[in-house]
Amino acid sequence: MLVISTSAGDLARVHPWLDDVTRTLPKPKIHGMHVALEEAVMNIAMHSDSTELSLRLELSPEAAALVVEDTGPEFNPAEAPIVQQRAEPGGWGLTLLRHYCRDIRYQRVGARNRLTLRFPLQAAPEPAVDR
Amino acid sequence: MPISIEDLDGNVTKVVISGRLDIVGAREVEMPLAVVAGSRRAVVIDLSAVEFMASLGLRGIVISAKSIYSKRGKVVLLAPRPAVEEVITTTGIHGLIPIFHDEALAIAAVI
Repeated sequence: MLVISTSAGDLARVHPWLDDVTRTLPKPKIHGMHVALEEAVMNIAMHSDSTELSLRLELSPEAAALVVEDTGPEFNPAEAPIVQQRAEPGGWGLTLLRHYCRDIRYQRVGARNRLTLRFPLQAAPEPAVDR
Repeated sequence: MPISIEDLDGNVTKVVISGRLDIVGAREVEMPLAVVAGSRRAVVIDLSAVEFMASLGLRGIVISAKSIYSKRGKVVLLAPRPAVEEVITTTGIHGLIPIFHDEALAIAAVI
């Protein structure tokens, strides 16, 4: 578990932490986790008044789940509308978050937002073909 | 510094960015990119050595590109790796800043 503030120095620890906790996972799975985690964390750091973030990785044979908690106002990035402005930075973060993580779960737990980003570790089965 | 700037023939400036354009790297290139955007009109941004980029890294590039366009200049992206190109195309930024995989074509596009 990594508990950090939203200061620039602390945010710099996010990617090294993820590198460390995913070192046993297959490399192709990790890139999308880095993008999704950066978007989730920077969305909180830039748009919420949360001063504390906690990150943890839960591993099972089927999936890796990144759990991000913050103390900001209620915000569900899985359902927030995306304002599509191609030339403006706003909206890219949520677009990338949802592109790289197809299973985003949000809970409000007491005064905290809990975001669970789930990444399957096994290839999806081939669709059945009727012959 | 994960950014170098080369002046090519025809008043073309090639900006080579390398390493991880993540929370730390994006901040390191933002100011040098802004300086290039403020003084150059024909810019090729070489992304071939960028290993990682998300929206923070993209932000610095797009802000610079908009500054170049506002002065009737041209800017293109050169040779992003597949993982970086996926980030660019997912956000639709390739519609604003064209991507080339051939350096000669990239240079020709900004002259």
